Amino acid sequence: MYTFAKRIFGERRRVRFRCDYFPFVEPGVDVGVDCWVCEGAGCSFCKRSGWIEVMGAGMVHPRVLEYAGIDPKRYTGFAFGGGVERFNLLLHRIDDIRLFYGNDIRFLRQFA
Amino acid sequence: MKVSLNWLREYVRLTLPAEELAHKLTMAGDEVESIQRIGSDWDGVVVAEVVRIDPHPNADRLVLVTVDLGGRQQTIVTGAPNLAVGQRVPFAPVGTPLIDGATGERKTLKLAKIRGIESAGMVCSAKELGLGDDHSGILILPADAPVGAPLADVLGDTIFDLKTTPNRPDLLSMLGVAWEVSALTGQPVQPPPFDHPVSQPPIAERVTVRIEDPDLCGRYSAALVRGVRIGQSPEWLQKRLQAAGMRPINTVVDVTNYVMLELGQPMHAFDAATIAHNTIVVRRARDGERLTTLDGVARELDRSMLVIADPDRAIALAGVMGGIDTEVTEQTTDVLLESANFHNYTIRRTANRLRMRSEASLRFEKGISPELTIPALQRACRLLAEIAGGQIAAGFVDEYPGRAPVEPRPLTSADVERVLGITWPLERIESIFRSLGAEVRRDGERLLITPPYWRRDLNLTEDLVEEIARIIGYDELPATHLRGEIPATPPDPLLVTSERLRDLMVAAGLQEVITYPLVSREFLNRAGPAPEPIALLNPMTMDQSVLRTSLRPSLLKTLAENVRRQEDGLAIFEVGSIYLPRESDLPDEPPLLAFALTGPRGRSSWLGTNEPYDFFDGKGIVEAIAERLRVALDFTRSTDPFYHPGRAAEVRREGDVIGTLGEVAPDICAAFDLAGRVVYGELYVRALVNETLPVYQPVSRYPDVVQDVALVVDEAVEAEKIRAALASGRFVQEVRLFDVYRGEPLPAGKKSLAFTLRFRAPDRTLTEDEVSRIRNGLVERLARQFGASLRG
Repeated sequence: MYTFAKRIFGERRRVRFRCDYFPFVEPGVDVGVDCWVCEGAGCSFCKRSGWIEVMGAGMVHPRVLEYAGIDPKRYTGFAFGGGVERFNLLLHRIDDIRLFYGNDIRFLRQFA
Repeated sequence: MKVSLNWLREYVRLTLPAEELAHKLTMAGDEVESIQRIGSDWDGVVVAEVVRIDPHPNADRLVLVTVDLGGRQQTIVTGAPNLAVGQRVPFAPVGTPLIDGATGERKTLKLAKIRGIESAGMVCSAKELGLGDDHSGILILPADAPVGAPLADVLGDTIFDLKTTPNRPDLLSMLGVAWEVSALTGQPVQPPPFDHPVSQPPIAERVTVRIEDPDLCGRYSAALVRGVRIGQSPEWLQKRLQAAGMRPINTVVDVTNYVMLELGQPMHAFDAATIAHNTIVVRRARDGERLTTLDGVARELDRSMLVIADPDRAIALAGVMGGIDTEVTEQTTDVLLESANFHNYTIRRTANRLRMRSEASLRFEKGISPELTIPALQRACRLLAEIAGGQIAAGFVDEYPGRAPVEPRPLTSADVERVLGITWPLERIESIFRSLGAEVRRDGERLLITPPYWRRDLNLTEDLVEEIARIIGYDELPATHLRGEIPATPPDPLLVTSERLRDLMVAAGLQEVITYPLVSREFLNRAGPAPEPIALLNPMTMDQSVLRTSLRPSLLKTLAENVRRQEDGLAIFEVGSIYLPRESDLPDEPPLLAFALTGPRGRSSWLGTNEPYDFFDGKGIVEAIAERLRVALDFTRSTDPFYHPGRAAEVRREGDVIGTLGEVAPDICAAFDLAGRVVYGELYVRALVNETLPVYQPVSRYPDVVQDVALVVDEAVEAEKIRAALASGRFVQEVRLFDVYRGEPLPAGKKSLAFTLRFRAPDRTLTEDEVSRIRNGLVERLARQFGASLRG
């Protein structure tokens, strides 16, 4: 996750892991990088926190493994995910997520 | 949950600065979304005592108030109606930033002359200090507030806005947060006192509780408090409720709310005199049963809801809101306190259905611990005895059908290593769980952990391991890279083909779009009747209530929306699935490639004319795909009413229809507000998969012979059929239609089709004569089959 976050958001970024709750993992992780607009000082982009949540992750919940026919006593799994819209919002400084679903050619052509 | 640090200090010593504590909580999963500092902008505002009030010489409504600021006095002008000598009030000197009571804007207090008298400062209302909305009078401070002290020392506080995750209802309580702080900072928790005085006769002689639906109510506990004084709660209690964002009402209601905030157990108080036969029945509501709730709304209930009733009628909506008939009023003397545990989903559904989510339902719906009911009653009884003079009837009524034994959970170092990849000494693990309020026993190499009763989320080994990780801090865990081999998987041919198609379409100048698979039924059928779709059981909106069985409406809509803001031609495509229901299986979800074109073919330029897209552009796209993917496709006439008659084709591979293309019928264009010609095509991606590798064909060393032939046929004869017949001729390598002619000297209803034929033999040079013979043979066959004649 650390390597991924640095590759996507830049080597300069600090990456943090904090406990969070997602029903399909236990323990659950929220992966954040420090805000690149204010360099972590706190601004409107990061809602004054200095950090941007970029991904959810964690150890696959044993119940999920069980349902998939995998013995959770023998195996553990690591899961992670981030919305592609969210990555692109962050990377391209797009301020409205609805643009991704609007299919406005003037928007799409900027990324063709 | 709004957490006042002043309040929190009652249960645990706060050894860290607020910022640092907030960071620790956030990292441990208890996100502090904001920190509000009450009083941080009260520079210079102090506690003042009113020593004199004189009339204003020039105004009836104003007075001159002299205040003592602790050794020096100041006289100011005010219109506030609620001042009296001896009161302690907040005093702001000139230069203090205050909120304007009338406009709500922040302004710096200036030296002012009011009706001829200079006023060097101001006594403030709650609103002016940013403490609430009250601007009806000056904020009166507690009588023991030290005169001259900064107001921030008396009223200042820091409030954390804590975002709680659904698995942690215990963090919707001050004590729950205190345990969290304890585990993170090593400071012990000092729980509040739970003991209280009791009086006779005991509650058991007065009150009966009967649970008729134990699946929806796992526990119902109650206490009886006699002779309560209903009135205003003391200052400290009101302040704490306000800090948590709640409005003080009266002693009894305030105590139930206070205990809910302190322990996380919602409570309700009934006027005991209004309960028929002193009997509480917990049961499902009857269909059509009516209850007027505390907000004065008469509500109709149904069997999915749980009510508290007496033998005659429903008296409260369990876990959501009380009823107005049994409300505690000024006249109430005896109070029945309810502290119960209701089924989380039932409460959630009821609160959503009736649109009345409350602080109580918010906690119940997360599944709080049934073990909370008695501690909550104990605290409430103690507080009511203390602040409202209540006599507590001895004992509690406690119906507990949902009692479940709590087994200690075993945990070993190996468990921790399996999940976290690190080893951690058992002693450290033990102390972490103790700091969280758990009971821990050592049993050889394993720990037996009994979670504290307020934590219902610690069941599996993984839950316990997470506690260790988050209290140590995730950032403290070492990072490693993945080791071991990743098993090789062959690429999925469907995905490979889809990706290839996208690249081909983009190379052909089309723009990719992605539309929603969920649409409305009306929209789905706007481009003509579509197959019956699968409807969602619980759609978010009607616009997204069925799974599409066609891409046509989505592409035409996207085209129409872009036409409005675009001068040039538009060419878009999508690779997306449709969802076709099947009798006894999950739906089939074939991916489709669909494209739509409209407007001029290119940008207008000096290069010449710029005709609109037509059928042949669409066919060209499909042919390009066929060529690049090396699949042989044929085109036959289509009668699909979606298309313009005569300008549509079915696309076939080895005889099977694998798609269609054509110019869209005018009535369908009109349904999407599309003017002008629109070309549309769609192909099943599965039918385009070609996993074969090309096999080398020897290249002939002998030259080609090229001959042209022009044939006159009836209008109705399709050029494609003629082309196919010519292509079947001996030595024919390629047939290309290069001209279509109608008009003089041809008779009406006839057309001339001119083809170039390329002949080649693998083993020798063909002679012109030989080629002409083959060509003439083909012409004769076409004359018989299609009535074709050689054009003069």
